[in-house]
Amino acid sequence: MGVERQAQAVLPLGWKNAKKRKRATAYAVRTASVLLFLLAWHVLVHYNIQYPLQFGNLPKPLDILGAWRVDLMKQQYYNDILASVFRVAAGILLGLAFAVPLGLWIGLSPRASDLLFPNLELFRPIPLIAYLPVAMLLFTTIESSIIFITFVGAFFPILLCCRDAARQVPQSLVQAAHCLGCGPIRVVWKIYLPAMAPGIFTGLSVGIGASWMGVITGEMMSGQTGIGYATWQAYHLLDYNESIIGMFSIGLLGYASSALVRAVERTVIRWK
Amino acid sequence: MRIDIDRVSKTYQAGTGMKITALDSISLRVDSGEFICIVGPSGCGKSTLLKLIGGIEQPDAGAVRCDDVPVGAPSTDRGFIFQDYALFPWLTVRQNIAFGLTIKGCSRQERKLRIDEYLRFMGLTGAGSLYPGQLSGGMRQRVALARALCLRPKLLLMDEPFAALDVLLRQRLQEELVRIWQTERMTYLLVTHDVEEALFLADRIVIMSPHPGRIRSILPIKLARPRRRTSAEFIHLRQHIMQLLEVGTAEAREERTAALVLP
Ligand SMILES: Nc1ncnc2c1ncn2[C@@H]1O[C@H](COP(=O)(O)OP(=O)(O)OP(=O)(O)O)[C@@H](O)[C@H]1O
Ligand SMILES: [Mg+2]
Repeated sequence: MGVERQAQAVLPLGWKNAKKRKRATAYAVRTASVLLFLLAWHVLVHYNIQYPLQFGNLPKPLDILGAWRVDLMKQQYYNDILASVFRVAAGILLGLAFAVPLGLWIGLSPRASDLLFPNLELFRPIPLIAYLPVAMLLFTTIESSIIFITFVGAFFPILLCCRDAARQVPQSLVQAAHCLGCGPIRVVWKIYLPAMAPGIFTGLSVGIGASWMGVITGEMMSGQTGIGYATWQAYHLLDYNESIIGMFSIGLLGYASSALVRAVERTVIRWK
Repeated sequence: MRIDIDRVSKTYQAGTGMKITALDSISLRVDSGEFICIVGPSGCGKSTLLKLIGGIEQPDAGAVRCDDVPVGAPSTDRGFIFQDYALFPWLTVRQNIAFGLTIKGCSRQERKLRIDEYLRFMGLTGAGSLYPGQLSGGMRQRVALARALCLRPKLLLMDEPFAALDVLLRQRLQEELVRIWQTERMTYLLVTHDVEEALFLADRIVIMSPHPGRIRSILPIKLARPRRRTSAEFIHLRQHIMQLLEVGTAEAREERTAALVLP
């Protein structure tokens, strides 16, 4: 008896340890892969390799890390980041405000789909950068034209996901709501939007990526502030350290914003 | 609630442009407090009939009246239990039951009382904060019942409510349903595939036949309650209804073949 109980107690413990070890190995492999990448980079630059690409022209990773540490103390670095974050946030909010109702409408009414979709399909394949001349003409300030580009980036993915989500709302849920006394307008709030929420978040996570693409494009082409502007400006000033810091900062910001969307999604969609 | 169904027809336009007569001039009268079961082979228009009474669909011809008022749109007087339960997956059990009460404008206090009452009644105490995805089939069924019943409808329409459940659970819920019906005394209309279920529950059984959907016969069931599924009478009646159903399907098939052969 005693032996059996001991065995039972030991078994899950050993199993847990094995799991922990597995996770530790995974982290070790991931860290090693990043270090290996940095090492390869360092070696390529150190020996001034010029073939097949001109690796020798790049700054060394350690120099970049040093410069980044200095940047982290400077107000300017944070100002640039804040400017870009603000533009992306504005674009995403505007995108949600326009794309969700439109997507719902197009999804539910074949007439709306016929009316609006041909035009939207015409604009959708246009790359964000190609919107810039028109944006400059339409808006009086550079700020608003950059926000317009981020809005366009967020708009289309959210629109398409919303349209599909609206079409997939089970009719029985809508009918059940009607039978429980829910009128046609309240059904939008109480049934369609919550039922579409997972789809909206799918659109949002694609859209936020496109928004970052848009903001960097806009800032590089016409901005006076922002992390995209700083990256491009540094290149023109031959400050390659700063260019590469800008590049990685953009990557980290994109990563952080998708993590934020996922976190919000987890708190909003608790039923899955 | 009394229901008058007066020569109601409903056709659907299939994707290919073909017309399907789901219901062909159906007439039926249901008295207040009656328990009616509708049986019939698949595609004979049982769900369609229920939706017309609920106001979810509109008839092409004829009229449905409930207590002499023509049915236009859905109303909270007529509860509807959907075949797939149609619980709102983003709401907890409590919030699902509260849905209709909130829209009705019940005060928070009254709502809480009513929900607690029905949670207890349905044996769902303790499950109030779960989401539908976390419930078993039988629990979902009871949440759907509670959600409809807490609005105190005068008529309850149920579309194959127990079809997806195993035999034992189905029999237990059938007994519960009879108990609820006997305490609340409203009109029940229940669609089923299961002849035994209909025999166990109904005051009258409406037998339908397909292509086009018609009422083939209406059978009053005089068995005393509580009914026993193993009594000789029960088994005899079940046999009888099975026969009626088989003949109905065969006839419809013959008619269709004849229509195909003759120009
Ligand atoms: N929305 C719809 N569009 C087109 N045809 C429909 C629609 N709803 C029902 N029908 C057709 O009407 C007929 C009756 O359908 P209904 O759902 O009422 O049958 P049922 O008796 O409930 O069948 P089951 O027992 O399989 O649920 C069927 O032939 C079906 O194909
Ligand atoms: Mg049906």
